[in-house]
Amino acid sequence: MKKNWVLSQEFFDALLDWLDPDRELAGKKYEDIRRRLIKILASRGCYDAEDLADETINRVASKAAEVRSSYQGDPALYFYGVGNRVYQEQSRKKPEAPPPPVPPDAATLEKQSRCLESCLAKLSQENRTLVLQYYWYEKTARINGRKRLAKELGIASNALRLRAHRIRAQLLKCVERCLNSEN
Amino acid sequence: MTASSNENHELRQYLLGLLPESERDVVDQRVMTDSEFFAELEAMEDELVDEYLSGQLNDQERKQFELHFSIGSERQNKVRFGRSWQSVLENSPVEVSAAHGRFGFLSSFRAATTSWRTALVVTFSLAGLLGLSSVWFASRWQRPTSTIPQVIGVTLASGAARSVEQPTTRLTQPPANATVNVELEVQKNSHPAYKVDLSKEREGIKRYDDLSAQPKDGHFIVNVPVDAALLDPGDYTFELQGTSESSQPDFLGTYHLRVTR
Repeated sequence: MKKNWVLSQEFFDALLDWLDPDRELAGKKYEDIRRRLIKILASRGCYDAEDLADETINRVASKAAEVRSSYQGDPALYFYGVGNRVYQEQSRKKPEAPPPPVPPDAATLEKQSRCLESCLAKLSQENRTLVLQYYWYEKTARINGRKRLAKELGIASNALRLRAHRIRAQLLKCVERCLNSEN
Repeated sequence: MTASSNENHELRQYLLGLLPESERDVVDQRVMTDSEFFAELEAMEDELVDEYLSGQLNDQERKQFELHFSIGSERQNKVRFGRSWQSVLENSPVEVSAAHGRFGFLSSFRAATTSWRTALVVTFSLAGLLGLSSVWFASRWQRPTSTIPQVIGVTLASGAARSVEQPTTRLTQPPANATVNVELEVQKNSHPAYKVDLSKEREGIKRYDDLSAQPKDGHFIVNVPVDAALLDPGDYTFELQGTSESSQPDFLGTYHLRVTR
């Protein structure tokens, strides 16, 4: 199959049917699997991880109708197997080195800061305080500071870590939307 | 090393491309099927970005971060976001140090947005020409410049705050949604835990238990996170005691803070 092959509606529907009979849940599972594939490919050093994940999904979709009747187990692992093959093919091609990241100019940085302030202001007060407190501690005081914060909130340290990360991820998405709307 | 720290180490190695292939495949499969593990991985990405930006990675990790970790667009976005985020965190604290008898108005200056900075530069210049005193600047620019809830740092030295040589540390009333991290200086870390009684004009407000001392600038500090909503204008006292399971609490010192309008 050629790269850039376009996923037809028929194949896409077959893929979603395999993931879940409920279309909304199937859509969420699809997004989730795509995110995970991107993460895995990026962790292997693929700078075009998103393209490779889409190529993987296209290949799975083209086989979904026949695979679903015989495959047993979590479909995510089937995607993973196909993703492995896509990665190996890509590795053999010895892709060109990625272009160096373009450093943002002062105007972009200013815009990003403005968006971040606006996104922080949109958080609930509880989440704002939590995320600022969690990341504020200096290195030397970080471990104990975070332990104390977790104790005050009555949750385990790891639960606090994941909660702070989720708020940060929410902020990142908000900033990206804000930057796109300003462009 | 606990199981959790082992896992954290493994995730770091995985993200930096330092994990052997056989172990990498095991992590991959958990990434695909275990939602909590995936969330851990994403949290670790944030931590690596923060450590990279604050220069905390060792040479090998830094090199791998640049050559391996940060080459995709999603992670480059994370690094860009991380820079802005660190800037917000760096600018949130308004440091006031009683130990050195100065107000941290430069921190407040850094906290301002660019447009504010320009306005501040102009104002500073005009004020300089008019010969206004630096004390005026200090109290003037102590005011918060952002509507974002802040984490404000205040460092207090024991006892000396009420002496003639060392004026009481002052803090302009912070926004009610801020948190004031009051750092109480101690010369040594003599107890496994500390407690602090906060009172306003001799009336107890709140007790903070199970605090710990952290090294900072050649001494130790006990950090007391105070909800700014508690800090109306007035004089506050922080009474610090060292605690241990086997003995009575030891009184270690009293620290003073004046909150002004």
